[in-house]
Amino acid sequence: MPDPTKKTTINPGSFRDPSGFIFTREETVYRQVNKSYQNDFDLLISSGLYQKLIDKKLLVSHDEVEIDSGQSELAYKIIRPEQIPFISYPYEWSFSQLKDAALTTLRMQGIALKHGMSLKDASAYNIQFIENRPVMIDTLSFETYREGSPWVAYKQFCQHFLAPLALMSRTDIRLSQLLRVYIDGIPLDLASKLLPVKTKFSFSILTHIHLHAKSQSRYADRKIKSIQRKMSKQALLGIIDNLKSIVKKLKWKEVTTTWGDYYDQTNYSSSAAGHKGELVKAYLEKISPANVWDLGANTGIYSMIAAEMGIPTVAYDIDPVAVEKNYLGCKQSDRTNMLPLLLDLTNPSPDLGWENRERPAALKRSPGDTAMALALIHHLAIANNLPLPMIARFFTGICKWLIIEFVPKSDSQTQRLLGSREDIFPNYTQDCFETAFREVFDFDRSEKIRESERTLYLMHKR
Amino acid sequence: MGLIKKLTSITLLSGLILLLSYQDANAYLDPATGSYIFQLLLAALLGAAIAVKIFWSNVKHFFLNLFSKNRDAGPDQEDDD
Repeated sequence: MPDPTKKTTINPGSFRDPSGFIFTREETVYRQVNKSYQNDFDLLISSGLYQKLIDKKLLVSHDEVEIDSGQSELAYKIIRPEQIPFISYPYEWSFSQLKDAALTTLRMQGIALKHGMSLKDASAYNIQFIENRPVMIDTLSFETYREGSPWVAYKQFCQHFLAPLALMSRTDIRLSQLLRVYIDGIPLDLASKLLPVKTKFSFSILTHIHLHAKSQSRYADRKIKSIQRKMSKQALLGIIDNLKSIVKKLKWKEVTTTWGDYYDQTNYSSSAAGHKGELVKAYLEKISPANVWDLGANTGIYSMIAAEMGIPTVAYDIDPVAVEKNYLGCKQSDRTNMLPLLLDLTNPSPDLGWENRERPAALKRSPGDTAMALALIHHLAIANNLPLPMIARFFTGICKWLIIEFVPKSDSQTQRLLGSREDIFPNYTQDCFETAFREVFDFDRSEKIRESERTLYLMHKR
Repeated sequence: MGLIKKLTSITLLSGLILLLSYQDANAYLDPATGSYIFQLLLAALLGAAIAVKIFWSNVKHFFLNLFSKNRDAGPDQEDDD
């Protein structure tokens, strides 16, 4: 039973829906169901929809609890949903992660309609990855379906899912980053402008994006007669079915990026890679971390070691192709402990939305226990001109334990980075690295990686 | 298939004409109005499309069930929700 004297904090991103809100107490997340949502909530349960979605692992499960939210006068019920291990946002997902989230949304809408309900939101932010599967986290998103009503979330679905997927597939995979700018999804007129002309010959993209955008702009500032027309359930199912088929058809076209084939271009032998893996495993066994953030994880070769030890692991990488390969690999091998995410460490996802508090910055979202920075430091220090003390300080802000690989200047990968520029890094030496990190960390182990010039360190924050 | 595509195009064109012919101006609606109206137009077209799809799926499964021992197989395993 929670202590009544403990503080309740209402989630700053939970204000859009009058049906209820999220709050946190003693580090547990709860959701208040308001009285205004009572009928819909009761129908969700009594229609069997809730149980169906739980059985299909599409919706987060919950227990009803009795605690004070601080706004009890509005409350119908308080629920404690299954806790999400790590919150991620659509601009951090790879193509297939967003695609799977879109298909989950459509599948849920289809099931909801069979139970006399309909999704009132199709926000990508309502989906989170649990055990590498997209799951709906907003239990209050279902409303009673009224015969003849269109799908109120159609526009939102197109903006949050279809437009970014079409842009990533048909224009450039990096356009997922537009979701970081447009918090309510990519405006359809913008998507329409950015998509190649040939997409006008695809019936579904022509209708759901190009013509849809035209219709929006036509009626944007126009006064029209109140709309009397209704649409049948069959027609609604037709729209859902068509959206599902276009989302399924959208494919990610593999392109060569800097990192996607990094492991084919590394300079060390398989023996060195094997030794590095053994060291990572030995270090992790020594500290048994609660979670691991692998920074610069690439396709997740070393993150996998942590994940296979049962440690919840977030595998961050800057390259959308590497993250995509990692996600697909995890899916194929049913690896549930790893969450591959897109992140540019030199410009990580910031605080976004209303008052900059709606969507917290990536590095603030959950405390990292252990960070791994393998073959990363030369990219930060040389490609990004970061002084070593600043890098050391950065790591103290995100982890307690650090497994970090030092890659010397003589290493051919570092030489590649220096190849096209003047060497202005006289302090990039192993001695300077150790001095900078000893200021804020205590060293536990350091081992030379066999058949390479690199060293792998284990250290903990002072 | 060609005929279906032609019919689709013609229907779509009709939809567009209908879309452009909304001229009444009585009540102000928010910017999502365009999405709302567009969905209504699309509904007629895609409602018909799914009716055809379900019809063919039923025909296909009638014959499949006739010749197959696996009578429980649904039209779309993934969507048997």
